[in-house]
Amino acid sequence: MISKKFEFYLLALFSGVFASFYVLMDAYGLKAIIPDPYVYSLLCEWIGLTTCLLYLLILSIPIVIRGRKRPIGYYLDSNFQGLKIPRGKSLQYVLGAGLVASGSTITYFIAVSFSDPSMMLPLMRFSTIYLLIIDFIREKDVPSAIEIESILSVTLGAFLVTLSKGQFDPYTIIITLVVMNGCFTAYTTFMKKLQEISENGKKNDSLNLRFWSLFFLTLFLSIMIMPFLDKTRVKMIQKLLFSPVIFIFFTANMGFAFLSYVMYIRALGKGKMSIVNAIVSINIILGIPLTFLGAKLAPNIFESVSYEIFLWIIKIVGTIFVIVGILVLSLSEVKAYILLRVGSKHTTDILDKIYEIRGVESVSAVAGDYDYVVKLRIRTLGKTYNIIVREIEKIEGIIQIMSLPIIKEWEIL
Amino acid sequence: MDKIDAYIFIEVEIGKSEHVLNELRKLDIVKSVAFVTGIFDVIVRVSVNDLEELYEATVNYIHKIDGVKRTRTNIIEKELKSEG
Repeated sequence: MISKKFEFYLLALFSGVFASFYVLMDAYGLKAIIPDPYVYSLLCEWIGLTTCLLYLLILSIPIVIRGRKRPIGYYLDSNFQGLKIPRGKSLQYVLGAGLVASGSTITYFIAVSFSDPSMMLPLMRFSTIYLLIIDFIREKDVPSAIEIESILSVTLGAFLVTLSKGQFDPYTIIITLVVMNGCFTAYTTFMKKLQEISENGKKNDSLNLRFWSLFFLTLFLSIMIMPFLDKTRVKMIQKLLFSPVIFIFFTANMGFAFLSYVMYIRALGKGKMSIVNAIVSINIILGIPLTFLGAKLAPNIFESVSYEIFLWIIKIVGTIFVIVGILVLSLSEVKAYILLRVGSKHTTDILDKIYEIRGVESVSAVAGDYDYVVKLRIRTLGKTYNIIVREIEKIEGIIQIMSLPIIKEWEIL
Repeated sequence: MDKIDAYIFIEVEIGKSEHVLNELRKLDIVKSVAFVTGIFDVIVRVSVNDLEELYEATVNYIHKIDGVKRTRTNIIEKELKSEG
């Protein structure tokens, strides 16, 4: 039995590894098989959706293990109980996730069509910076020195890896950094929300979330590409749709994507978004060997890969900047317990109010010396000031606050 | 049957911290041990099946650990928690 913490790290790590595989396949496919990002993305998503539905149906088959009848998918995600149609709030968020994902998907394919994995993988992680900036705006908070350093490191690194043939390409930068990562940030936020809400006491499972967001993604993508479909593209699609090579290629490709997404979403349900992103980002390192592997296997296709050693040194430096920035950002954290006493006159429930404060990992109403035990997880100790002074002190009824910073912790999850 | 969770605040004698940690880790019901600065030294989180088990653990085990000066148990009545 592997511990839950270890499982969490493995999920995030493999999500990253599988992601780098499908990026390499896309880079190959867009150069060797279908050199048109619109046609490629349409075929890819429709075939992907079909195979995803197939996977989901297979995973819905119930099997009996130790006298309990459960669908196979239960062993991938214990919240899974078969294919189900999202309703209410879940439906709204899934629709939103599908819409923004279609935006990031089409820009992703456009970008892949003129770059290589060593460039794409670092750029795909840029959304971490946006997530952090959203936090600052929402918390009305001043960033700490560590946060500024990390943002600079990741941004600088991202610019360095886009460097090709000795110059910056403004088109790549705008498409990947602004549109693709902007949409991906929104997608991550929607997915985190979907993990948190539950309908009738049942949480959303990652398998259904992946399928339904892919379903709406494909729908919105098709609508967006419609105006660009001229005669040559339609002919191309008709010719390629029933080709077995194309089908096998996309099934394998979307298989990696499916595994990567399911693991990513599951990791999100287990831990903090920033830590998941940090671990997934380790796959950036894989971009460089994978690009060379591609160039070795198919030299005529990856002819744009430069062998200029100076350029590669700059790219490697950029990659290191991105990884270090994301790691430092996610792994610097401080935990603290805060004990609260409330006045006897105030009996209103303040549990929800405390839980809504950002950085609060858990809040427990206790019977004993104190009334509430709050566990905080923040980036620097200085941030406890914001949480205690600006948030907790304002809650009516609290008469005593005792903060106990954790200097070392040992836990089993 | 739902489990009962509790926080146990412990005051530890100077120089015995490492020993207390090692002894606490042997206990099945212990979910986390945190060294803190402030009025207590250690905050332990436990998860038990019933109050009898909690009593057994505190009175017959934790109180007997060399170095534990005083404990205060806070049983959790209600909790909001993000996973992970």
